[in-house]
Amino acid sequence: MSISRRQLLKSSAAAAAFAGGGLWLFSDYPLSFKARSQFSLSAEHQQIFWALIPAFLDGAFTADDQQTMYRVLSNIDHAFAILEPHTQAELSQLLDLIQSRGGWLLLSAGASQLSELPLPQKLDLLQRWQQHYLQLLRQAYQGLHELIMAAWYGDPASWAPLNYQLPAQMKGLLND
Amino acid sequence: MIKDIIAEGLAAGWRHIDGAGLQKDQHLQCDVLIIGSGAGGGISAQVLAQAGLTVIVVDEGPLKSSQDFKMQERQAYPDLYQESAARKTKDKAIGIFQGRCVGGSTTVNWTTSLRTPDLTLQHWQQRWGCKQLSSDALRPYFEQAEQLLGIEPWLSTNANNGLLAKGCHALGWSYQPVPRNVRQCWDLGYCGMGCPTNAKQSMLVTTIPAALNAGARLLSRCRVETLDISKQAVHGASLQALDQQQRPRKVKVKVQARHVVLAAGAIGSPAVLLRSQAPDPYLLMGKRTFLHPSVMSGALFKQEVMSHQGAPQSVYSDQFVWSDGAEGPCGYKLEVPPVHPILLATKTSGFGRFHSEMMQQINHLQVTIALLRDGFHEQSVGGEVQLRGDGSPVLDYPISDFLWRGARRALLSMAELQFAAGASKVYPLHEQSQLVSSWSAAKQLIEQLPMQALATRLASAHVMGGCPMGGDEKQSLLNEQGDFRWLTNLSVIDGSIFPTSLGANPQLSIYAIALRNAQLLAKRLRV
Ligand SMILES: Cc1cc2nc3c(=O)[nH]c(=O)nc-3n(C[C@H](O)[C@H](O)[C@H](O)COP(=O)(O)OP(=O)(O)OC[C@H]3O[C@@H](n4cnc5c(N)ncnc54)[C@H](O)[C@@H]3O)c2cc1C
Repeated sequence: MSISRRQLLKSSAAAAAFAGGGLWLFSDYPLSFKARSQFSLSAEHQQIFWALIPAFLDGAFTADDQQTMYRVLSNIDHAFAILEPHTQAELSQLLDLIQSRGGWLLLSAGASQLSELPLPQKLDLLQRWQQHYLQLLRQAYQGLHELIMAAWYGDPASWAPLNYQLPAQMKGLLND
Repeated sequence: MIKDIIAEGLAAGWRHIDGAGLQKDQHLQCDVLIIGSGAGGGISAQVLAQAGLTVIVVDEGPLKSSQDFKMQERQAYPDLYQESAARKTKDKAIGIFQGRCVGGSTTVNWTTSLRTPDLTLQHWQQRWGCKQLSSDALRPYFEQAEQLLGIEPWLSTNANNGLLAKGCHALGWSYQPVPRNVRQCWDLGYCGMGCPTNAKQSMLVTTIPAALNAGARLLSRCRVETLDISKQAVHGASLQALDQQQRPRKVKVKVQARHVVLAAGAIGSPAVLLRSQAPDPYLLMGKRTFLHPSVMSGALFKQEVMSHQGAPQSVYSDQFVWSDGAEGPCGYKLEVPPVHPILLATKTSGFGRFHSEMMQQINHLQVTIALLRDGFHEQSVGGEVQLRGDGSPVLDYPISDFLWRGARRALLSMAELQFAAGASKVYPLHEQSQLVSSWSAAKQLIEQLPMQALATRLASAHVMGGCPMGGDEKQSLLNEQGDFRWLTNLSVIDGSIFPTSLGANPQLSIYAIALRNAQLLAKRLRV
């Protein structure tokens, strides 16, 4: 996601009007979410994932399964912590952009705050990013897609509904 | 219990330094420093160490062994792959899989072992002046590599590969069994996460142990930053020790060597040369890097396919690789990948309900891939390795219309094949795709899908070129023995030496040319 706020702002003439920074996306943490202090991701960045996980993974587990949500978040944090420095920097830039008022207005084309969006609108937004004519938005979408999908489907907790199992011959040989 | 070749070798006194445990700076000396322990580096290490030369092999990745291979993508990717298997081209349009561990990509590859196609070698002779590398001249080296690594056709085919064969058969397309580098393979299907039974004859369990038994030293988790160059000659290299997270530590290592073999792989080898500011009068370094960019197509079957079980690749089809000659429209090879959850989830376009329903059908999914043969046509010039501000490499790979036309034809062929094999639905991997229930609907869909970066899903596990060999100094950095033209004491022996892609999976081509060039080098260095 080599998306930088500056590049994005440049791409839209109307952008200048919204160029105010600052935290805007989440006026308050939603009641359901409590940021983890021991994570590498900042509380604000965790919150972005918290809002996007149910959309990317709609149908993978029940919508109100908070324990699983935290599990996915924790897997994302783990993956983030070991990303190459350049990828980590790019992802942080993207999250900063989503988190800032000007960036969000551009990315969302004027949608309300991320934490307040109902699921159908989040899905709508993902589809717009996925198929956007601007390559930067498709990059951002695919970057988030990869991170969130890997965080859930790499976790053996996700395998039961898939009926995916390690080969029986290896039981006992993997010593864990 | 499975014998742990690495643990036993270390206990028996192999000389190994782990950069993550190094306490202070080191100065080491040897006859030959080999940078990278993958296909090219592994073969070079065995040949040169057994020739009686003192050898140091260095790899930026960790030394892992069968006991560490737990058949889980979430562990294997960060442990064994470049950038946790999430390496991408500069614009993020193509995912790149490369190994980053002792054994290199051979530790995680899928074991398909094919000789360099005759047409590729002919093209290299005619277009790139590689006069010495005919099929006849290379035959003894192919045979030697096949013997060394137990390469034989694999005839027990899982359903994923079986359906590729079935579709080809129904359409009258050619298909062949895949030879694999395995001995006593358990047919598990987890080659991509490191072989837990040591059946795969990767460099990790063959040539690297042979080199260590012959007295070579291995440095893992040490990254070569630059070659030490003075007076038009290479005298060694400067290394950076890395911690367990692959982050640079304070400790540095200097290796002084009579000769250096650069085998850091395509992307890795050009990066070392670029960081070292090696001479490059015709500005070729890192350019013409090829990927066999691959498009993918998923197909749902009523019966279970279980595409994660069994040898990952046992059938391939060359029906479309050369149909219009080497220099005609973009050819493509049809194969299948192993389908494990992270690989499937991250490559499958879409999200939400659609995506989770696809995932829940993982056991009914057959996936076909088409590897585009890049580099043979004048409109297919590959990509360019560049350095980021921090010195790390990135591959800029713009995709030409020539390739996009090949991609569209390949998506069409795969859908046709999957329906011919009995698929109930087909899903070309593309951000604007949908499930289609018939070949005619697939045709309609694929013809209107925009072939575009970050819309068409693309991946590659075959990185080649960037340090080309050839007959003409204006077009090649190396001669056919792998000697770097503009510096003495430096050879390159890995996948970066190819002037084009191959049109076949690369490992056996690298093994054979590495055997040849390392043997020639040993002769020269021993006198
Ligand atoms: C998932 C996967 C599946 C594949 N399947 C097949 C297959 O079935 N058949 C086939 O023929 N091919 C396959 N390939 C490709 C094949 O394995 C590679 O083409 C081949 O191993 C390349 O050999 P190499 O010597 O060029 O580089 P590699 O084998 O990649 O080795 C390069 C090594 O250099 C190290 N390195 C890089 N930079 C530095 C540095 N600066 N300092 C120190 N060390 C460095 C890396 O850590 C790495 O270990 C596959 C690859 C992957 C990743």
